[in-house]
Amino acid sequence: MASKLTLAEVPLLIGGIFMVYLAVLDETLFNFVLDNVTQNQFTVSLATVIAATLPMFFAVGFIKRSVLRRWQTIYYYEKMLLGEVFWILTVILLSIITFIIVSEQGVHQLNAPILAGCVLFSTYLVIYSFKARQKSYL
Amino acid sequence: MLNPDSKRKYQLGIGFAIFAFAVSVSYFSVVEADTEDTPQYDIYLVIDVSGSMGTCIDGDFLTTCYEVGITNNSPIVPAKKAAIEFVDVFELEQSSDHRIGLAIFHGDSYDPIPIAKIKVELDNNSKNLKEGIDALYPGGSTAMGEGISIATQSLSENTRPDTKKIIVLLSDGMSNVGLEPLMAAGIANENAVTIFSVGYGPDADVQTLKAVASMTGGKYYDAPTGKDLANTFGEIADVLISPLSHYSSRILILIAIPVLLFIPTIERGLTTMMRRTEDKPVERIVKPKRTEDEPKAKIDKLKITCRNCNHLNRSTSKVCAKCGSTIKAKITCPNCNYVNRTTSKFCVKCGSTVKGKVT
Repeated sequence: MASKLTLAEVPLLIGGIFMVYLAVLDETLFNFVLDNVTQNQFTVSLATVIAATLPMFFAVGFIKRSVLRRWQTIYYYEKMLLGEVFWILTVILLSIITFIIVSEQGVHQLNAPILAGCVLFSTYLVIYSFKARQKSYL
Repeated sequence: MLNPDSKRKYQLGIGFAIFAFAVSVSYFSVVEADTEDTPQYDIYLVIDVSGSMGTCIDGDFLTTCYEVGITNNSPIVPAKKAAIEFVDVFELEQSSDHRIGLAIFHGDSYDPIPIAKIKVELDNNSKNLKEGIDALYPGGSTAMGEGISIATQSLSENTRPDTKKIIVLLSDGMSNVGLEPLMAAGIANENAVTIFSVGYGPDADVQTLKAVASMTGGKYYDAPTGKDLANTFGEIADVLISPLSHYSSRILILIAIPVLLFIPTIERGLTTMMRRTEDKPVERIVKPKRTEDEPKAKIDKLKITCRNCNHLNRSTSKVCAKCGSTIKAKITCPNCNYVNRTTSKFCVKCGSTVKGKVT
């Protein structure tokens, strides 16, 4: 069922895997939410939902665009994937995570791998979307 | 059958239902860890007793303060209260699992000399601890790094197996003398000491306190007022004694997201599977094997014999492939002599077989 991966789609797949990592193991968003509220069952659950849902939502899109092209997602998500909104929202999310890492954890203790991943992938997405836009004009 | 638009909405509805289910299950799976699972702790309360924690009686903090004292409005008063409440939460007499000590840091009032002391050694005697907290008196500069360092040293020297080493650091200002707090935090991290830092009041060095907590895997808490300080210490005690477990709840969400997004694919897969199970197994049609004579017979049937050289030509050929004679002639029925077309298999008149009999 999986489609053959082309070289141009490798960064998307890597980005998708990185987003899965953010959803599964990274605590940046989770801690950020909990830092700003009192810790109880509801807030912990809320923080968990936010920390897992947001990166996973985008991760599915990138993995679908790279290796699971034949797998059909729900109509509205498919429509979102085709538009620029998806890229923009992903860049916004990655920027938020970058901001949290830099500002909240302090410049002395950077979560370097996550920070590097966020910066690199969001830069790639910006370049990719610009190129796609140029192509569509031509 | 649903129309495409209704189907899309229906799929979206199912997706949201799955997500809502996962969220609600995750809510109930956020549970307090069992008391048996709570580790035993060695905790140091490291409290800033610099001059700013008291009240300037003679002079002004902004220019020169000659004498620092304690009044009801002094920041150290709620700090003492919060620290005592923190000690009460651990019920040290009833459980020998946890030990709490008290360390202070400040500086010399006149010279830039850092002072950090262990006021009460790690023990499960809350009475000594409370007395020690009650006797705290402010004065001098802020030697935060020294405070962290001395508590780390004591925790490392008095270590017990399977015990978590914790520092609860309270400060209301910026470290201005002695060891750098981040350097001290680095040493604490190397010794597996976790620091929970509390920034008290508006002048707390939030960035440093956050970095110190982050470096050691702890957490920073903000307490702008004395009231907040009591809540903050209570929250730290809760986190240590009854930590909320949330990893199992995260797994559900992580599974639900791809499932809800790939609903059409899942639906299609399920439909195909159901069809396969419902349908009867299809009987394979076995073609009878051809005999050795059969191909020749087939050729004979389809070809036309040249009347000049007897070469077998295709039924559509107009010229013999071997001798070049014209074979477009019609086929005469051997039974009734009726002239049929070259492609005819049976005589149009009598019905006899005429194929391959060229005249």
